[in-house]
Amino acid sequence: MLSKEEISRYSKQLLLPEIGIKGQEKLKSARVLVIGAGGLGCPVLQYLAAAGVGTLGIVDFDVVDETNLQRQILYSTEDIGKSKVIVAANKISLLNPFIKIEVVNDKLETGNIFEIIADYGVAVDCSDNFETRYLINDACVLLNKPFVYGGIHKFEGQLSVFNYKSSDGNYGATYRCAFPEPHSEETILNCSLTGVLGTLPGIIGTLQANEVIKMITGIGEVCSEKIVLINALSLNFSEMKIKRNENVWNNIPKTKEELKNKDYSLACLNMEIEK
Amino acid sequence: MNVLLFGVLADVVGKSEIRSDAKDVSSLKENMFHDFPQLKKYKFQIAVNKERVENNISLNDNDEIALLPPFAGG
Repeated sequence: MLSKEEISRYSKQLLLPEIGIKGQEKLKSARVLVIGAGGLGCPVLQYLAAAGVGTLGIVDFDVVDETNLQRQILYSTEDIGKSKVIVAANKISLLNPFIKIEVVNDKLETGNIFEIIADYGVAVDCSDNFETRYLINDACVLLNKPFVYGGIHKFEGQLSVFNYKSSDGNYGATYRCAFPEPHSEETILNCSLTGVLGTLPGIIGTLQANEVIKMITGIGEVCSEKIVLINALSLNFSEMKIKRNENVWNNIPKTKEELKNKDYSLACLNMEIEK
Repeated sequence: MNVLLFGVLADVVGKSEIRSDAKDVSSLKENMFHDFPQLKKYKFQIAVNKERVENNISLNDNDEIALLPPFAGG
């Protein structure tokens, strides 16, 4: 049930017949986990909080750094050195006091991922490294949960909803179906030295939040079975269609126990493909 | 045919689009690796006309090819 205050707060959404009271109640009862409170995580958290997603989980272990402020727009200069999840939780609770915020000030790892993800309906992958991305994928596949992927590189972004159960009951492509293998450590080291346009994670993160809202309210067409590619300089939107490919699944642990004992370091992720 | 390069692949090649007259996906890859040996270090997927391909299909001049690496950044 929505309170009088909530009906007023969300009135612009309630006026959309596609959402209405029913859609807003679905948002209110939804539980969404945002993994990473950085460039992508900030807009995801802001828009989902503003839209009235009832419970938002935030996972991050980092503190705010001066170099984050160019794109991580939840944070202010005075927040430098403070825990990202704490600052983010404070800011979004000021934005919307009607939602519940749950913080995990910890690194997502094989030992804690099931416990952290278990109670959420959707995960949003706003992480910044391949190890976490493969780990999120494998845990979500084992738990039959969808997750919204966003990735950025300089002026380009990628978006997809992986492991999404469509209305026909079938699950869509996973991250491993799209990208069976990560780059090697050597090439990633080079990538970490590249810059990124501050607005880019804003664009991609906003699209991730948009997919979450669509999935929860059941409106529109979910970005499943394809990766949408966006170039901020040319403003070209393109896509690559992908299919669920169970051939790559040998690398996804079969059980939670197997996942807990798996090594998600880059070297191991690369090696398992060559096997 | 046009070959679109995304992310770090465009950085390596120095352009986001090149021309190729490769007959099939395998020779496209061979030609690319020959012209830009640095590309061998990177993992990427190949899409023909916006569909990811895994096998060595033949290519036509009006096909649009895309080489897509994963993006780790967030």
